[in-house]
Amino acid sequence: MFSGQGSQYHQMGRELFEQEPVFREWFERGDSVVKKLINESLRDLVYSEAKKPGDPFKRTLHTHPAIFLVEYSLAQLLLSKGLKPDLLLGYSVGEFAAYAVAEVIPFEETLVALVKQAEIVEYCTPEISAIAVLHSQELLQNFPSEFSGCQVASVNFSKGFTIVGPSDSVRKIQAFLKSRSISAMEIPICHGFHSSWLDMAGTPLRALFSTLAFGRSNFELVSAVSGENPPLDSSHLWQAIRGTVNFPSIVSRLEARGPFTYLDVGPSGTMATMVKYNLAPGSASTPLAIMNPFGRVRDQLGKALSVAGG
Amino acid sequence: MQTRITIFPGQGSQQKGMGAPLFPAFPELSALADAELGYSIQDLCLNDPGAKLGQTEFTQPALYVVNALTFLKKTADTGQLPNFVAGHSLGEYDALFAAGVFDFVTGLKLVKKRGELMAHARGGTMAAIIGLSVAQIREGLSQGGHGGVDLANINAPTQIVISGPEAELKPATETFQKMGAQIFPLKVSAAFHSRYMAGAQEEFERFLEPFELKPPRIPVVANVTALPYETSALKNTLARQITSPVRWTESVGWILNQGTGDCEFFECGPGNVLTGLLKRIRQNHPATAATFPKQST
Repeated sequence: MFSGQGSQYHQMGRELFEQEPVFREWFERGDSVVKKLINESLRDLVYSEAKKPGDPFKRTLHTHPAIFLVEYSLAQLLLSKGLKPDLLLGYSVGEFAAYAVAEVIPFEETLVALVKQAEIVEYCTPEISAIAVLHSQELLQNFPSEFSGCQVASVNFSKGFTIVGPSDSVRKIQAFLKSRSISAMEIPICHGFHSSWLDMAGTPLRALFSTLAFGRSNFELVSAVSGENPPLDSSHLWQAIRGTVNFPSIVSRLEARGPFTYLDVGPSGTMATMVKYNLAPGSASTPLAIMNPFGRVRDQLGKALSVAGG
Repeated sequence: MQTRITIFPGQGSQQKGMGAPLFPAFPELSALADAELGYSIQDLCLNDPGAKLGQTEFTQPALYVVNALTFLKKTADTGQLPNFVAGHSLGEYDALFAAGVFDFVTGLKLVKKRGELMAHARGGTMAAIIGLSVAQIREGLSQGGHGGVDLANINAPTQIVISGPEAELKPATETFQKMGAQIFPLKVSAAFHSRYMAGAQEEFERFLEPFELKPPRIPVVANVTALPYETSALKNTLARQITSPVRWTESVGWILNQGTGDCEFFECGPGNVLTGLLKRIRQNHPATAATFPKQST
């Protein structure tokens, strides 16, 4: 599983970068591609000694390629150790990583497209805020005026959804939620993926996607916006970042074919957590994350390889 | 390593038909511009129905939009961001947009106001003096008793624009003609980039106040200082531009001195006025003239 925007933090994958040559090689290869475009090194940015995992890290131009690189590098490491995935599930920007791992679009081309996408989005769309709300979606029907001015970007599990909107509107919602003792967490993103705030970039982004050549996939793919094996074309990529995500329905569709080991190759293990909350009682499936902000990443790597039959 | 510099042209570079492929590539931003301006920017640029494109209050928003869309198209095509940006007069707003100081519409709001204020100023004019250095022009002004005339644009080592009230500018140009210069009067309605724009500057400062400007993500070399914009002085520097000379020769010189290798300039907008100036500046720039004598732009 490849997670999207918001799952990044400084030092993500550091143990792997330092101790796993395959991970490091891919990360550095990508870094040199990105550096030629944006004049900054992601290696310096992500693994700067001065930065702690909790320090602000949300500029789209940096998070887009950085998330892609840690996910892609970890996936290559797993493949090199013999792990054979049955399915690749991509969530938002994570779908680009899944496409690259499945060799639908070559590594470098995908990375360059993501940098271009970030640039287009930064110049063409407004800055927004986002929060994850830990409550059922009924809240939206019961308090429509409180939530006006914002949009639901994703439903993650029965008691968890995310909303995006202008920071003023989001702040008001946060105050409202606090007054009702409902938990909400800020998501470190600054552009309105999965909402109409992305539409200002619709034409240039679709033009960008139409320049990409799509090859055959080496693995079966599942898109988090549709739950289906996506058509390998440019129109789906727009859907992948603009459509609303209904994660419970994705998990239930997968579970019908399961059980699975849901291996999260994203930086923070958010997708594994979301799967856990969506599994029916008694499910034989196992969600598992490798990277997390707290360490012992290589232990998790070993566990993943043994559980997933590497 | 290659250093990429994007430069944005200012008033004078506009031409009917500019931006033709850009409006359909960015229809959402074009529609935002239309809503802000109250007219079709595409129609103005492509067809110029009322022959208004040459009028300051229309020229400025039109050039700002075309420059900005040119930048976006290049960015979307190549993915490459510049190491430095700069813009000539109005073009500086595009440089600030490229550096993320403000978004597209905020920049357009500022440019629209600036264009209106400059268009409504009266009682002055400008002239280009070709063939004399800054030192020679300063000398000519003081010795000829033309204290009411200001240097407005230092475009290239011997390509300088002066600005002032018509009654004072004419005798000054006669002095320079006698000194061997060629004189080209500019078709402008006021003495831009001079002390006579103080009223416009004050009003613009008030207009700027409520806007939130962000620290530049790419260094923007300012017309006023010929040095990168400082985050603490964004609004002040932007407002002062209205009454200050455009120190273009020094701005380009500063950039050339930063480059650690090849300096590749891209003129991001209609025409090639800045590319022409660049050649003259580079010929006279000691370090780069020696190191990169045939650098293409």
